[in-house]
Amino acid sequence: MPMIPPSEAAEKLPGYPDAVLRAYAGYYRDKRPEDLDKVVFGLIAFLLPEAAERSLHELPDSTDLRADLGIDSITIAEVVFIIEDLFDLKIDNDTLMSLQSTGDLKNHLRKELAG
Amino acid sequence: MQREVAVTGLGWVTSIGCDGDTAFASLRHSRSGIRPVDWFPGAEDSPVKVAGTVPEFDVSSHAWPLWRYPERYTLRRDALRSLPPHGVYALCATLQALEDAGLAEADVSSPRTGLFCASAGSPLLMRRHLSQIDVSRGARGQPLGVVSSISGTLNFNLGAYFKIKGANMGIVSACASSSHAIAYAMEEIRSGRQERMIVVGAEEVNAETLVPFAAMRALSPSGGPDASRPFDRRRDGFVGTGGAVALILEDTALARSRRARVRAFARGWGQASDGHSIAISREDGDGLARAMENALADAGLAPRDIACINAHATSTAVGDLSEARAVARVFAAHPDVPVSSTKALTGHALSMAGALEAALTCLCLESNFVPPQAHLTAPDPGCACLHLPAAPLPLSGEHALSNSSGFGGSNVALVFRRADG
Repeated sequence: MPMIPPSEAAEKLPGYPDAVLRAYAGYYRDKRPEDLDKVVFGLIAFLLPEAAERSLHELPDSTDLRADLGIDSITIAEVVFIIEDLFDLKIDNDTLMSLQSTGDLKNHLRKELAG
Repeated sequence: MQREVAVTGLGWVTSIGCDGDTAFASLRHSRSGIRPVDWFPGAEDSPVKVAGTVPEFDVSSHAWPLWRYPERYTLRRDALRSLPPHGVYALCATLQALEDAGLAEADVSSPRTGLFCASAGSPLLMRRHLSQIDVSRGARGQPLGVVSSISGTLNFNLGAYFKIKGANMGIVSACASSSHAIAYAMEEIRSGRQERMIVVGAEEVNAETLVPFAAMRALSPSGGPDASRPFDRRRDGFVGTGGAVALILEDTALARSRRARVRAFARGWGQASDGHSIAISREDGDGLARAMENALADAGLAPRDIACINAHATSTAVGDLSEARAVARVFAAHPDVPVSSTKALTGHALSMAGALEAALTCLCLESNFVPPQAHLTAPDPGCACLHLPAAPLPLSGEHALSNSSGFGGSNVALVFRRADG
């Protein structure tokens, strides 16, 4: 199955930031990896307790999801659940546990979607 | 010597007000919190026309980013994500109660402070999560689906939010749940296991939580703000409500030492079961009568010591009659004790009812006020044995009783004493 259309994504993510939905629509149209990063890290930023000081997609790839951003395993599972829904992906538990940094997450999704 | 239990904080998110002053003004002036609902737009004869909806909040969506609550509360996004809709009510009511009690974060996150909660969970979120799992044939499910919807959701979420280190659990006995929670919180303090307990009752006000009761023929099909008519001849079922009420209970010695304002004392409690039916009260009210007798004995009081009773009466045909018989039996030598059910104004809050009515009872004791039986025009002849005040009365004593009954024939009675008594 292909990724879901932007209108359906907006229905699945009511109340989520417009920037995330715009980036999703951009990726759906042009398949630019930068837009994919904005979707993924925009979702993560929205689920963090406090607003991040800078856009997460601009952080170095070595940024540790747990140690540096304070993201717990449930939050990662929640982000992955949304990504799976939007992009029709399946990320297994071993892969989920292996995603340690922003770079790991970014590269894994880019590779999967280039598929 | 047994420790005495003080109520030092109250928090309110209810159909009759989202703070103590507003809730009490509604009670004092018999202002109903029951309003029209349209949960099945276009349906010709909806089984539910009214409910005790919660002002100032909108948590009708399944999606937390769309929830709205008063700006005076600052709720962290990471806390909202795992909450059920009624968890927002519960969080706000608890924050209010802690502020009322003058407690700091360190007082709350202490091994000596516990948390007991009562709710039926979130059928709204449960339905959604199970539907996702069903449609995907088990392949996809919301990671927070379990903790946001099952019946322990309040103690999971509030326990994490407030970093509770003492006792933390949920209590389930249907509409007696939060009275049981208060009762066992009292026991934690009396026994010295905990010095402070937070008790929270909460429920959602939506079709998923309330309409299933219509299938039991338990809901009033009537409309209007006076659809809930406990003890009245015209009563035709209960009107549902939700929201949240939080109480802070403390060892009185601790409350005194930190100069906390004591709003009332939780003096005693009793329970007994009907041994009769899964959902119908025993006609002679035997279980509730014994619960009241046990509560009086626990408090070391006689019936004549009780100055008013907040009845469980939900406005159902059998339940109200059963309670009338129970009260008449226990108070045979004191038949003029005033009895009223505040559910006429609030609606019936299910698991949260005991906490709501206990908190209202504390306010009545504090204000020397006995509420009238609202929406009573012609008492059921079977309930005429009760003194159902037509107008507010001054309190003629120091103690009040609050009753709760739940499915399976569970009955709980709580006794409170005026703080300055």
